[in-house]
Amino acid sequence: MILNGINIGILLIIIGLYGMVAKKHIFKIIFGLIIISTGLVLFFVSLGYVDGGVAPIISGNNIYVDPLPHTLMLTTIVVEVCTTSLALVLALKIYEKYKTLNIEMLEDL
Amino acid sequence: MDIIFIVAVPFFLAFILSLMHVFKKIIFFENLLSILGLLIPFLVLISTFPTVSSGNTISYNIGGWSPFLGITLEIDSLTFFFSFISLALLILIMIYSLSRSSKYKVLYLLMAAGMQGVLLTRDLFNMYVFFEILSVSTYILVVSEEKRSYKASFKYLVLGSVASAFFLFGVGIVYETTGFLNIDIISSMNIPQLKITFLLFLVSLGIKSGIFPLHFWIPDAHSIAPPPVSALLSGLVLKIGIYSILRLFYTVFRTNFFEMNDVLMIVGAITVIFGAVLALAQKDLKRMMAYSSINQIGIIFLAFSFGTELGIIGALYMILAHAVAKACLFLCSGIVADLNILNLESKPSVSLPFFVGSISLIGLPFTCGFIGKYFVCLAAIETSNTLYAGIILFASIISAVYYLRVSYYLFRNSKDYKTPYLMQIPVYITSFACIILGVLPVLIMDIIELAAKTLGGII
Repeated sequence: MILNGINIGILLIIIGLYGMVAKKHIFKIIFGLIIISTGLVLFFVSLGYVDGGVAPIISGNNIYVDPLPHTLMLTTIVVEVCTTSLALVLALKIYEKYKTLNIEMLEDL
Repeated sequence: MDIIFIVAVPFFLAFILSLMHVFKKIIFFENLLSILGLLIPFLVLISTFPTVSSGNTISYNIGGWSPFLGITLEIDSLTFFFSFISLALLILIMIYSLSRSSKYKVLYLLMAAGMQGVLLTRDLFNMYVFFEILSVSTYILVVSEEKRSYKASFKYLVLGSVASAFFLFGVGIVYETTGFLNIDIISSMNIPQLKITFLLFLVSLGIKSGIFPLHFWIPDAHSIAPPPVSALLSGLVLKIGIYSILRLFYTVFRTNFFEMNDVLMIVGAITVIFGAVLALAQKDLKRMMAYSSINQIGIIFLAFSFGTELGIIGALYMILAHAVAKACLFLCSGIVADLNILNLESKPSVSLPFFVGSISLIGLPFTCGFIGKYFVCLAAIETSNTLYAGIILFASIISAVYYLRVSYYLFRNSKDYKTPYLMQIPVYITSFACIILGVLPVLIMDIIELAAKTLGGII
């Protein structure tokens, strides 16, 4: 199956990278960051997926999914919230100081 | 005391400091806590010295979980070396910047905790988390009153986040391939499929340590940040990236590193030349020193891509020399009034430490920079890469031109104005350390040789 979580996650990372490189608007760059982190979270969560697995609350002889990537992603989501909020604050401050959100207009100053 | 305190004390005191900021402003307690938050980890680190210097390691499992399940902190000679330099410099720079706001101190302690975390942890994902703590606090520390600092901080944030994303992506692939996150366990498994992640980690840590094609955030962030923060960024934060490269490439990807040897050498050589030439062209003092950092990072990178034990010794000595000397120079630049190189004016007492720091970075004899460059050139000749030794010497001549020019203006336009004692002491201590480590390299050579053996034994 090509459309599994891992591939879509990697695709999202590439889309996010494209957005960060190609776009000139500060908010679009921040959206690129968010898309990259979403892709990473999807990638990791899919790593733990086991076909037919159930949540790892041990009872009987079931197949369980790998819980470790999921717990790691809780931390990553917190980290991403911090980074994104800091980026948004900086964008606000840049708008206050320069009166523009286009990064090309900032270069000559 | 357990080694967990090296990471936990700065975290805890940062938390207390941030609460104190809300309730009441008692400057004395603030200063006391911020110094204690770095001094206690330093003392704990010193207490591990007898064990580490005899070649053993000290490890601590967080929560009592075994290394297979939980997170392990470990101090070996390499970690001790980096941790010692970083804590000593962190204390000195904290003394220099005691007059700054309490928000600054909170972020400073958080950054110190993140830095020690990266150095101590043996868990890949934990390393990512500590890297993020370190980076997020430095993004904020770069911001000052100046208009351009917001732009510099944003640029740094975007690149730092891309670097972290690459790192995390690499961690994901390593976990998928091996099923473990513990560096020691992964390196004992010796799986060749990990090759694919090598480049992800190289790009990520290359951004963090400023290797040639990935260096472009350095001049902005380092020159616009307040002087003590520049000293930290240039002296320590870049070195943390180098530490992770050393740690990961010599353990996790040990078979792959040397297949890339030639490429890494060329990249390092370009970094050396590029940094030196662009530093020559700068008008702004701090911008010039930022480009000089790129030059020095290039030498360090070149040194350990030779892959011999002598090369690693040279690289580690260069790391020490650059951290001390560059911290000294950036701290001096906070005392100098005008940053345009042609208008420099300072107290005569600042010119001398600046001069000592610059001759150490150039690599003149009787300074620690000389010993570092000597070992690097020796390693280059030993592995019959004489060309690279020539490149390093050529870059040293260029750096002599731009540093001695600055020293000339500093000595010529000396003017008497007041500088607080607290700001002068760290400057003198760092410049004194440049000389002492150059005259008596024996003081630190044992631990460097041990660290090089730890890495070299794996080769």
